[in-house]
Amino acid sequence: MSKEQAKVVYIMSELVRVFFKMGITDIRVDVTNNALESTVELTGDVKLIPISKIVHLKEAIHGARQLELEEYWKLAGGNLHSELDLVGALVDEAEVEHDGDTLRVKVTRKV
Amino acid sequence: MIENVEKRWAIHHKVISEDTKYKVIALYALAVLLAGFLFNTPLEILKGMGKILTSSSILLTDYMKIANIGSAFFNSGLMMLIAIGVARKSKAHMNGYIIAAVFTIGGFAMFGKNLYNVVSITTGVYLFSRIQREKFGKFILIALFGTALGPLVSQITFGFGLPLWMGILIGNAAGLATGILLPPLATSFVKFHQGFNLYNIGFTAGIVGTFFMAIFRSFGLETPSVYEVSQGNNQTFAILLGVFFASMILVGYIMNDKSFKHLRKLMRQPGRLVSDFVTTEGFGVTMINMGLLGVFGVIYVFVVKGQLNGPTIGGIFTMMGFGAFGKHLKNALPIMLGVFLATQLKLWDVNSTGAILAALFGTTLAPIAGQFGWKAGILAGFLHMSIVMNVGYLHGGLNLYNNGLSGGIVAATLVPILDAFREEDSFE
Repeated sequence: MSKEQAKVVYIMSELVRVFFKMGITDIRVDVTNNALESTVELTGDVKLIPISKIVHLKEAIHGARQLELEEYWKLAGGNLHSELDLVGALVDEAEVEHDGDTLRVKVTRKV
Repeated sequence: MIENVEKRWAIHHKVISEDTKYKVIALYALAVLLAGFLFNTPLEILKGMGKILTSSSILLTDYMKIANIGSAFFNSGLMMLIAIGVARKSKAHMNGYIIAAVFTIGGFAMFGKNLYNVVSITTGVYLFSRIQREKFGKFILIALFGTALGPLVSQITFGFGLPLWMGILIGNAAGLATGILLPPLATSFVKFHQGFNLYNIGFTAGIVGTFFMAIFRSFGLETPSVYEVSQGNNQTFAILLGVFFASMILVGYIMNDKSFKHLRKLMRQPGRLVSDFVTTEGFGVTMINMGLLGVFGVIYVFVVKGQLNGPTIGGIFTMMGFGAFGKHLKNALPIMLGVFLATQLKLWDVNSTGAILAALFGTTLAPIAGQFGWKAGILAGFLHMSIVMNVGYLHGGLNLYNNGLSGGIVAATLVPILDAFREEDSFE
């Protein structure tokens, strides 16, 4: 496994952790990895999620990629505590969609 | 739904351009440099810089004592400006982590870092990025914070009695090797303390310094015990620092729409790595937070009747800088209280420079108070005081971030225990 793939695993773990914390226990995960970019997409069934949690999720992964924080990538998904802000810093694009029944989060990390 | 969320973020957060952020921080660095001329003439500063550059610089070498006050401020401002230049060149965002790095470098340039002893380490990190074929920007924090091992270069060059040419050669080779070794180690060691020790490079540099010192000792080389600290300038420094930090609060207030909004939200953050307050709460309120921490640092030194000198001002600068990257009054105070209580029960005088440094730099453990509450914070500070007074021997003063090494040990030990007695962490 390349270092880049290892980073994708850590990002995926953190996002799964976040979904669990939100009370979503039925999660579908799609991961793609190629020479140009990697994507992690999580979809979870949920009837009611408080808006504050969606806002926090969106804010945390709203920012642009911050190369300077790459050093800390092993903190993502690696312990009991949230590193959602770090995930935001490790990805170039993030989509958060919530239609009332389903929450979908997709992050893209360019190589 | 998504539009609403984005709109809400945009309404509540004023976005400040990178240019503006760079200019504001550079102006503060320039102010520190120019402050040197309030104390000494240009010629005296030049002569003082000569002494600084040829000093072994191991802990505790106060540049105000071995050179003069003006040179220490000049060196500090110069190092900050160079750090800002390196960050700009590598296209880094002037966010919390870079601000923390800039002021940490400025702080330690009062007692250990100088232009001579940081170049080879930073170059080593750059070489690592080339070897890995990755952008230097990914390693910029390691390049900046990694200068903690500057005394390693200076001690080999000037402190072991080697012929000068040999000292320069071996010293800079050691600096280069250190720079190449730091990135993989820093990435790995961060897991050890789970981000609860804000000075991750300090911990990493402490381990590297310990290795180097062990090798030196096996060849019969020992670093001397150094305690060169200045005193007697409290009133002057208090006025200078008071103006400096008050202006930060004022500038932050103005840039934060002439308000203190988001300050309470900022202080609700645990502060664990990575907590970039500039990104999450905004540049203006971050400046306010930094100013408040700086003011409190000065007040603490006065309350315990200590001395404002190179090392303690360095500690205040570092605490203030990390006001952009994890620290605030709410999570820093319990740590300082823990250190204070430790000095009341243990061997050390509360107003000794070592104990004051433990209180100021001990706030590297602020995330423990932020995450687990003030009682855990006091406990962390209390334990830190004992550990930090014992780890200096390991690296023989070669690692300037001695508190980072201690903080890593305390955090790695306390956090799993505290976690075990908690049911769950919060969503945030």
